Order: sequence, then structure tokens, then C-alpha cells
Amino acid sequence: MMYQTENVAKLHRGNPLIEALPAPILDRIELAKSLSRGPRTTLKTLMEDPPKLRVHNLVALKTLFLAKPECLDIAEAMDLALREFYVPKNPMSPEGQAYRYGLAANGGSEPQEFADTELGCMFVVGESGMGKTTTIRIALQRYPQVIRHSAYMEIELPITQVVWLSVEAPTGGSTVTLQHSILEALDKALGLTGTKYAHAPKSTKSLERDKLTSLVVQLLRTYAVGLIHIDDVQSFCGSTAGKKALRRFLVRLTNLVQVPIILAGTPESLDFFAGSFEVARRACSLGAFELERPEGPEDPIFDALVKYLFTFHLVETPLTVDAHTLRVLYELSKGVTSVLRTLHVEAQKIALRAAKAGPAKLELRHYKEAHELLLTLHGQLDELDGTATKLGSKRRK
Amino acid sequence: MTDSSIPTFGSSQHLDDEWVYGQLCRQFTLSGEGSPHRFLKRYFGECSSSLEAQMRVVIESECFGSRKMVAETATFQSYFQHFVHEEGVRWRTATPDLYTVGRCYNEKGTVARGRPAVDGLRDCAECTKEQFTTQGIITWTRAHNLPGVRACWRHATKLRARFDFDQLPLPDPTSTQTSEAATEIELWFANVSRETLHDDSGSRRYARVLRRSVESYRWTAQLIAKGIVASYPPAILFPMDLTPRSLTAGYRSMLSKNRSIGDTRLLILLGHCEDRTSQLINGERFSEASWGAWRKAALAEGATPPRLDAWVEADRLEPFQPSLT
Repeated sequence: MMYQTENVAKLHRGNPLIEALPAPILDRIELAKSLSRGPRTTLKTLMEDPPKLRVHNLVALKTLFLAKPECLDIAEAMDLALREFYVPKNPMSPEGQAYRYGLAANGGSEPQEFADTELGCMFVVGESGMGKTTTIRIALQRYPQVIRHSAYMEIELPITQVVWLSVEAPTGGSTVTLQHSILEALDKALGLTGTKYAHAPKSTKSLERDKLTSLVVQLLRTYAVGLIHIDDVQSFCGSTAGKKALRRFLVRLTNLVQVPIILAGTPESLDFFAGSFEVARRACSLGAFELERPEGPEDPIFDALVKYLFTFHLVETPLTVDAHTLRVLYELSKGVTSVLRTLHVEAQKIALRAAKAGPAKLELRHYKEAHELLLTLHGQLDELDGTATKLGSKRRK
Repeated sequence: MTDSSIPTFGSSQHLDDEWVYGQLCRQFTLSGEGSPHRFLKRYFGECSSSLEAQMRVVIESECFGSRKMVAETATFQSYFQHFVHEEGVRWRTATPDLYTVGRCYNEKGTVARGRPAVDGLRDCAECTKEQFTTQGIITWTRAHNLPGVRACWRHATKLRARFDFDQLPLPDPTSTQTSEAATEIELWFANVSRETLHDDSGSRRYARVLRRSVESYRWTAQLIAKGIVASYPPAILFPMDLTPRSLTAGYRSMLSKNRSIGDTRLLILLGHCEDRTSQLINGERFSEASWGAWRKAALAEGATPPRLDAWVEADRLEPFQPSLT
């Protein structure tokens, strides 16, 4: 196990849980590069195939991702929270060991208590397709998920550190199912094939529920879990009971385990915070971030997004980005990142098929045709018309 | 372990003088399992409520290291080896259970009744607090759980005991109660027991004493009683009903109350009082210098400290000061 010796903050030195992590990326441009995703195979290689075969290579463009400034903010906040929350858990200190054994509540230093109105959480909100999940998962993947320590500074340290877990909020908003999802994610991270943690009984009786929570809490301590990402928290907002249960669970988890939790959801999940982004901002002690939809075709973010996408194409004659193109593309995609990417891939498919054996030329009409194919999205996209892109001021009804 | 894919929780980290049972309890805590039964079943395929059976499976699983290493460093093997392996001794041959649980056998060779070594799981509140403050880890140590030990050799305080061993508990670091001071004999016994545990010289002096004394403890008791009576004028002894008969009866009573620890306790005691025993056998009177050792012996025989203190005062003897080394 290699531990970082450079670019380690003074407060983090001597903490194997932090020193085992990759050094933080201090430069925003470098961070943007590390978060953005292009195709894994070079375009030149993919272009060598004839157009009909090249259609199959377009799948390589489906992973394209441009890290917007908000994505960088999220990644930075996650990195800070991860390291900050590892500080008191240093296994080389008595406090860190006491934390592992769940002794802090009984003796020694008391865990930091979060007020009921405050959650040890980070909240990421944005329309579906704006890249919430992708941003968070790419940011998480910068860290190894499991680190197995054996010795640190010649001192025996047999600890398995699980840096992050990512789970989806269960449909129906049951905290019991959510806890099972956490156990399943832990099983998967640790590569458990036989006796799994997720085999804990799925009972809804309060006694069993408490036991399950105790199991989850202790395992998060035992494996020094650094971050938990809960995706699609809007699943909990269908019922008042679901919201309350999740809130209670999160408060308990953040108080007992002191692990930062990243909640991500669509604007509907704001119901969890009384329907207000401002309340969410205040309630989430680690920050609230909004992945905004570009306000219009003139939005510089939209412009950058389109230009970035257009650098990756498998046609001989690409489309030129101008004001008209931007306007059309915005109308078709409503600024939703994933829709824009899908249109870009599908349009090339159409262009390549039309080209037959000759050189393929990408035209704006191909994007319109691709849009026609996305029938199921039309209604959803139309709903976005006329709604504010900033959740701080207004929510989509 | 039953499932090789189960990762270590990190509790195999060996702590100073830790009993293998302490390692098991830490493992249980880190597993997050609410039920010891479920934990043992799941990780060791064993659900027996017998501590011996549990320990056997845990050690055989080698999850805390090789069997040999665990036996040498985390069980009571090195303590008991001073008393066994001698032919002609009416003790049962040493078994892994004896080593791991610390349970003794009485002079008849039958296993003592009661749970683990009738004294329960013992810890020193001060040591536990210290462990918590300096390491953040608390566990059961061997020196506190040796048969018959009721005092902490470091803090000179009485040990706390609990009997819920099947719950795989860890000592409580939060107790605010002031620990009661241990008696001299308890402290002395704790020291000697610990020395015996860590004495790997291969000495058999305890075994020699064992062979001679276990058979004849009643006879020894009579001698001790006679010696005490001979040392003090009847004016002091008879009003307190300290006759050879009553002392011998008290001695027997002590043994029967502590059947599981009596032999070991007595053996170590006699091992250190060997010279005094021979003095008694030779019918010698006690000298002032030998008073301390005899006081310990008499206390161990059941004479109460107030009585002994009264003798000390009457004879203007210096109270016995135990040595911690």
C-alpha cells in the first residue's frame, strides 16, 4: 500500500485513511480534464471503418461528458467532505479506533451532533439528464473504492477501507430497502460472494429495523466508509411518511457514523426540503448544488457543451457550430445534456446510413430526424418549456 | 472462517496480553451483528453456547493467527504449563479448553462447575479506561482472567466481574465508580499469577509443589492452623475461636467455595510459601521476618483481615507491604 507523502495538508498527515487517497487536484483545469470523458478509442481508429460499419462505433460517443463548472464544484466539495470526515477517524489515534468500535457514544469524545434542521449531507439537484449521477459517479471513481491497509509506518494496521458507496433510493421510499441497498453495495465493493451482509433479515418490525440500522451503522464504521451517494431521492418524496423516514434515517446515520452523504435527485426531491432549494441549501451542511439547464442557446455553457460534443464525430464532414445551429439544437434538446448527446449520436447514425459507401456529411436535418425518433421524450421536453432553469427562484410544477 | 471471502475487520491486530476471547469480542463488535449466536454461526459455522466449543472453533479457524501462535500468546497455556505435564498429578491432562477458557479442574480431576472459571470475565476499570484513552480499543486481558485473580496487578484495585460471556461483551470504559482497593493477598496473588503466566523458563517449581501439596492440602491446613495457634498465646486466639480445628474447617470451606480455583490458588501460594511450610512441618515458631508471608497464607486460609490486623497491633509487627515487582 502506497501512501501519499506530497500534497497532503498538514491536518491530514499521519492519517492512513487520507494518505491512501489520491492527492487532491488543486487546479480547476486539471480537475475538469479528469472529470470530462471522451471516447476510449481514438477517433482516427474508429474512422478507419466504412460508414456502415462505423455506425457500430458510435457507441463510443455515448460516454462523452463535459464537466461544467458546477460539476467541478461538486467534485471539490466531495473531496473536501471526504477528507474532512476522515480526520477524526484516523485509526492511528485512540479516537479513530474508538470510532471504529462504536465507542464514541459511550465514552471519550462525543460525536458531532447535527441539529434536526441540519443534515451532514450534500444535495445535488437538477433535471433528469443533466448529469447529476454521471458527475457524482465520475467524481467518486477518482478514488479507489476499496483500500486494504496492512501496515502504516511499520505499525500493523489490518483495516479494509471502503472509500465510497453509491446506491439508488428504492422505489416506494422504504428505509429498510435503502439500508439493504447499502449492504448490497458494500458486498459488491468488498467482492463478497458467499456470506453477504445484505442477507440480513428484511423485516419491517421495529426491533428488526433497529438491528438492521445497527448493522449498517457498525459496518460503515468498521470499513471506514468515506462517502455515501444516494441517487434519485425523489423516490422518497411520494409520501409524507417516506420523507420523514428518510430524514430520520439520514440524521441518525450522519450523527452515528459521521459519514458525508450525497443526496441527488430531480426537482421533485426538493419536496424533501419543504419544496425550496433555499431550505435545502441551509439544511445540507455540506452544500447544495444545482445542475442548471442552460437558459438558452446563447448560454456560454450550452455553447461550450455543443462545441465539446462536436469535436467528437465519426463523419467526414461535421456540422459547423453557429448561432443558428445552437438555436436549433437548444430547441430540440431544451438544453438537457443527455438529450443533446443522444441527438448527436443518433444524428451521426442517420448521416452514416445515408452516406452508404461515400463520405458522410452531418447536417442539421439529421438532428431534427433524430429528435423525431425520441418520441417518448417529447412530452417531457415540452414540459420544460417556460419553466425556470434556476430552482432557487422557481420550481417546475 | 466458513467463508474465505469474508474480509478481516482489522481486529486480528494483536494487543498487549490480549486473551483470544477478547479478540473474538472485538471481532463481534466490528461485525455489527446484533446476536452473538448469529455472528458465530455465520462466521465460524458454530452456534454452541459453550464457551469452550466457541473458543475451539475460533482457534481452529486460525483467523487470529496460527493455532500455535494463538495458544502461546493469547491463551492461558503458558500459565497452566507450570502445573501440568507432571506424572502422578491427579489433575486432568491439560486440554485446549483449559488453556483457552482458563477454567481449572479440581483435585478430583473433574471439571469445576460454573462459568468461565467461576470468577467470570474480569477487567480492571482503570486499565480499561487507560486502554480506551490511549488506544481507543478495549479488550479482555489474560492477566486479569487467570484463575482466582481478583485484583489488578498494576492498579492494586479489585477487578470487576461479569458473567454474560455468551454475549461476547467488551469491558465498559465509561464506569465512573471508584475502584475498590484490593487486599494485600489479592494483589500478591495477582502478581504471582501474572509472573507465572509470563514465566517461560520451563521451571517446574509449581509442579513440584503441586505434586506434594494437592494430595495433602488438608494436612497442610492442619499444620498451618497448628502453627498459628502455636505462635500466639491462647489469650489472643481462643476468644476469637481460632483453634486448629476451626482454622482447618475454614480452610476446607474456602476450597469448597472456590472449587475451580482452589487448587491453583493454593499451589501458587504454597509455591511461594515453601520455606514457611517446611518451618511448620519442622514445628518451628514464626520469626518476625516471616510474618508477611504468613499473613498472606493465613488470609488465604480464610482468616479475616481484621483478625490479622488485631494480631499485628497486638504484637507490634510491621504491616506487610506487597511488592509490585
